[in-house]
Amino acid sequence: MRTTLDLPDGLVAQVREVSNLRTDRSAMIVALDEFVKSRLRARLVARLGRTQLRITHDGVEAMREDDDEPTSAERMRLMLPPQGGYPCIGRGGPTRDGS
Amino acid sequence: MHRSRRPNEGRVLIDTSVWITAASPDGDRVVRRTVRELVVTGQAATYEIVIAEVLRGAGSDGEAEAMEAELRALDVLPCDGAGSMVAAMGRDMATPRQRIADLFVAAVAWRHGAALLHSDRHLSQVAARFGIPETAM
Repeated sequence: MRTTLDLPDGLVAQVREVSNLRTDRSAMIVALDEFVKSRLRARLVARLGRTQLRITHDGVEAMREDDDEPTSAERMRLMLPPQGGYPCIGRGGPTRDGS
Repeated sequence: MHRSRRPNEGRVLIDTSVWITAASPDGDRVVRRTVRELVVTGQAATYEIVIAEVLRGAGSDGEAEAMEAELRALDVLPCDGAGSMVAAMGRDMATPRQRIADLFVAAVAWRHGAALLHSDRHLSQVAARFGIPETAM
């Protein structure tokens, strides 16, 4: 069965490089799927934060360019496992219907 | 249905109200930063109605296509069979009457043990009623 992947521009070569490291076909498919998703998430992060991406062999680093105060998120690696939750900020806001 | 559930591995279902703020160039920085970090750490989750609502606001078909690919790279929570739960929640909260979309996002979060990130005071009412962990921004 032939599968077509919609890869982000310029990443095909890197996908091939990663896939060459895998010998097991199912593991390769899983790796490719996660590879593509990680780059799409990186693109989403860039869209949200006016960031510039730097793609490396083992992940994606998103370098912030906006004028937010420096935080630990300044250099974000998208391969990190989930971390703890977020504190409740708890202030009211608009509703879905704008009321 | 009124019992609390423990969040599943820190998974956070981001409501449309937050995506709208986060995607706006003039959006609140705290909101943008929070969403960004949730995406980076793999905690960000979404589901079909949120995807539909976000894409409805896209400026073009091309932009919608790009955003859909990005959103589907997140943890997309299945909402199969949630209709009956949503209906029960709606009957339980008949006054004030809740929007179906609000009940759906709450039901999906509850079913998957996810916390809810939103900026919609109606959702706070629903989350409080059904013991869904939430962060209101």
